[in-house]
Amino acid sequence: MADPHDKLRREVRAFVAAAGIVPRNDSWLRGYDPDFTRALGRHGWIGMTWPTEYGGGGRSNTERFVVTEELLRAGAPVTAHWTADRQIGPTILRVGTEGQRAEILPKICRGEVVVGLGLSETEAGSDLAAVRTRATAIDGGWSITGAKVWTTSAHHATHLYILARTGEGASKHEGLTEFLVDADTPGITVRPILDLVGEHHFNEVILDDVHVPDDRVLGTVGAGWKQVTEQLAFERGGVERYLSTYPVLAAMIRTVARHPDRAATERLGELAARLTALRQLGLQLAGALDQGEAPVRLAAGLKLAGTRFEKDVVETARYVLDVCEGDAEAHRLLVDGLAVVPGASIRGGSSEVLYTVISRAELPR
Amino acid sequence: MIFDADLRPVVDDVLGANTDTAPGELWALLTELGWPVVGVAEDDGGAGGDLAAVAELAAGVGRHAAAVPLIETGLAAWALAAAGLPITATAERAALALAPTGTVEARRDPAAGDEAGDWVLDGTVPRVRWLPEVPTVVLVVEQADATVVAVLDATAAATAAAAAATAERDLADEPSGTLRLDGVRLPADRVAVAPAGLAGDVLDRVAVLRAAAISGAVERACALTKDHVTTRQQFGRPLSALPAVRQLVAGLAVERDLLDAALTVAVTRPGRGTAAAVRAVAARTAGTVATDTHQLHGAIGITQEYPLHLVTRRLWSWRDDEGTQRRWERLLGDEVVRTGSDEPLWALVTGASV
Ligand SMILES: Cc1cc2nc3c(=O)[nH]c(=O)nc-3n(C[C@H](O)[C@H](O)[C@H](O)COP(=O)(O)OP(=O)(O)OC[C@H]3O[C@@H](n4cnc5c(N)ncnc54)[C@H](O)[C@@H]3O)c2cc1C
Repeated sequence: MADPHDKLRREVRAFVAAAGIVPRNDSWLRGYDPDFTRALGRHGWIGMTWPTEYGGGGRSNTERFVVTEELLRAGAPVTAHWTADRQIGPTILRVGTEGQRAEILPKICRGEVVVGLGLSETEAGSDLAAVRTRATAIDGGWSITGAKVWTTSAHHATHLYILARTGEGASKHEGLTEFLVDADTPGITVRPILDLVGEHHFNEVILDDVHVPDDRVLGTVGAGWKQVTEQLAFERGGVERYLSTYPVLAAMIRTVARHPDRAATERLGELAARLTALRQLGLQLAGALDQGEAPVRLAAGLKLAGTRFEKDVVETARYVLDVCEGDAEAHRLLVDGLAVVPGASIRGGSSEVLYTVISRAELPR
Repeated sequence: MIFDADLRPVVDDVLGANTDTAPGELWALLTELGWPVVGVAEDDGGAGGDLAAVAELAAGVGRHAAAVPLIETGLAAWALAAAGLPITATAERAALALAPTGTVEARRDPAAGDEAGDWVLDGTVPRVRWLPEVPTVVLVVEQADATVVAVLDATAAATAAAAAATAERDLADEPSGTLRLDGVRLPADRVAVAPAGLAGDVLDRVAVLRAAAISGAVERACALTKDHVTTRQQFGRPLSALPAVRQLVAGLAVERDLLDAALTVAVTRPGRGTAAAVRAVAARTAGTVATDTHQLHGAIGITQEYPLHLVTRRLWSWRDDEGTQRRWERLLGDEVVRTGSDEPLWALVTGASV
């Protein structure tokens, strides 16, 4: 039986093959290539699910799912648009104003928008609602002061998403507001933070009396917590939560085919079985988004199991590349993959926090 | 996991209300409902229904720890129909014996000539579930260029000097005997020669249905556990208030999600790879779930009177049927490394045909 998305798949594969990509693990976070992103935009593969009036493709989340899985399979450099396409565009569609939609969405679709996500702060990690960055009302807008940390791609960003405190409430979940700030606004300083292998992907972002007009508020003032938790279903439930080390898996297959080994074959079978299940969960999530749901519990489960899988891929590769004599390229990918693993189960919600999310659904108090 | 939303409540009614009914009586009821032959086309004497319906029945057997050979009889009937033999022989319950290449020799008796001659069977098939309690065994012999399907009278086989089915019981205390064929003769009308691919198709179906049964037992084990941790009090509050308990329960939910997802793939995209994948996942889940649900129950869980063992013992037994987890993983691994590129893996995982 032919898969209904075979044609779309073929198009993406042909495009990727022609681009002559050197595959990377975690290419959605560590593969910044604005030219590649703009080329994807020309093919209509950014903002695929958004209404055509905003430059989108009017297609289903399932079709977007197919495109993203083909891109990560190839280890293609998709960082430049990933966050905008995955969660900021959808947030603007859900809670944004007509003006914001008309202004920003077409630019995202063309691959011209790079968003840095300013959620975390030094004192607000897992406890995100503890953010201290403050937005104070001024004439015609807001003045934002504070500091964000771990902001991926802020050094390339055209826009910074900022979660800030605009008021106090009975609980710390009240009085939070989301902003989408132009990155060239005066008062913003971006400082690099190098990762464990010396690469520059995340940053510290200092905001010092940054003046932001009213039309840069996303959604409702004070409703930031509810909005951001909905956003997390998009952030956690995608293909990037189990495919970040796929290039290592593909390298293992090449290796074992050349130097057959029974134990290595069994390990690959184990990973293949788990990946089959994870991918189906991902597909179900995409389907749920098509139904207008925000499947928070399912997305948490996918991220938890998916990042464990990514780690097991790399751990398995240590063994497989040893006994089956992996070549230089396979070893390059293994080393590249090792650097991904420790952060994967932390970013976007640490695994222990995800257990909490799931147990709340399983065992309501 | 819900495979067939219409069928599921009926399954719960029937199997849930009859856990103490005598096996013969329950079987009569199931036969009346046509369940043993769901999945076999009506034209072949079956009750019709797709793989999802059969999986719903299998999950019901797991959920209610039903001590009836419903899955096995259905598989035996399906194999017979696929080979073009009448399914009537399975009416009073049947077992399915799978003989991989080289384990059983099936040949025509040379003395009787090629045309209508008897068949002669030699070999051994270990661990045939429900043997020798059921009257019929359907034997599926894999050969290099064909699949030979034969209908054996299990009671006769057990007493005849030429064949013996040794009675053993598995960890769940269900019969699981060894079929020994020592020159057993069968008339030609009890044997069919089918295409080589049939043996593999039967094995795939066994794998998916075993996984469905495991998912049912997993569901029950998890439900019992949720119940237990929310009612059992320690330190002045329910166990479910303890973070370590909550984390284990959440972990169980994730394992269940994964098994359900793999089952969905196997039922909607049936094939060699998706069957092996779900079977491997099911074996893994069975182990994790049995371990963690027992852990969360404390001592009460390992008593005869508490029902957890009804499902965990089945999980331990079922997960090793037709090969342990590693065997299924090797089968899948062979499939995945076949060409040296990641194409076979990607086709398995995504269903893409390009
Ligand atoms: C590669 C990478 C990229 C990132 N990119 C961004 C970005 O672009 N924008 C952004 O805003 N942030 C980003 N982050 C930050 C990320 O969101 C935080 O790291 C995450 O929320 C955890 O916060 P923390 O690092 O302060 O850890 P902490 O909150 O200090 O937690 C440390 C550990 O404590 C345990 N723990 C914490 N809370 C609980 C709890 N409630 N229950 C049980 N255990 C708990 C967990 O084991 C956790 O891993 C990125 C992180 C990484 C690794």
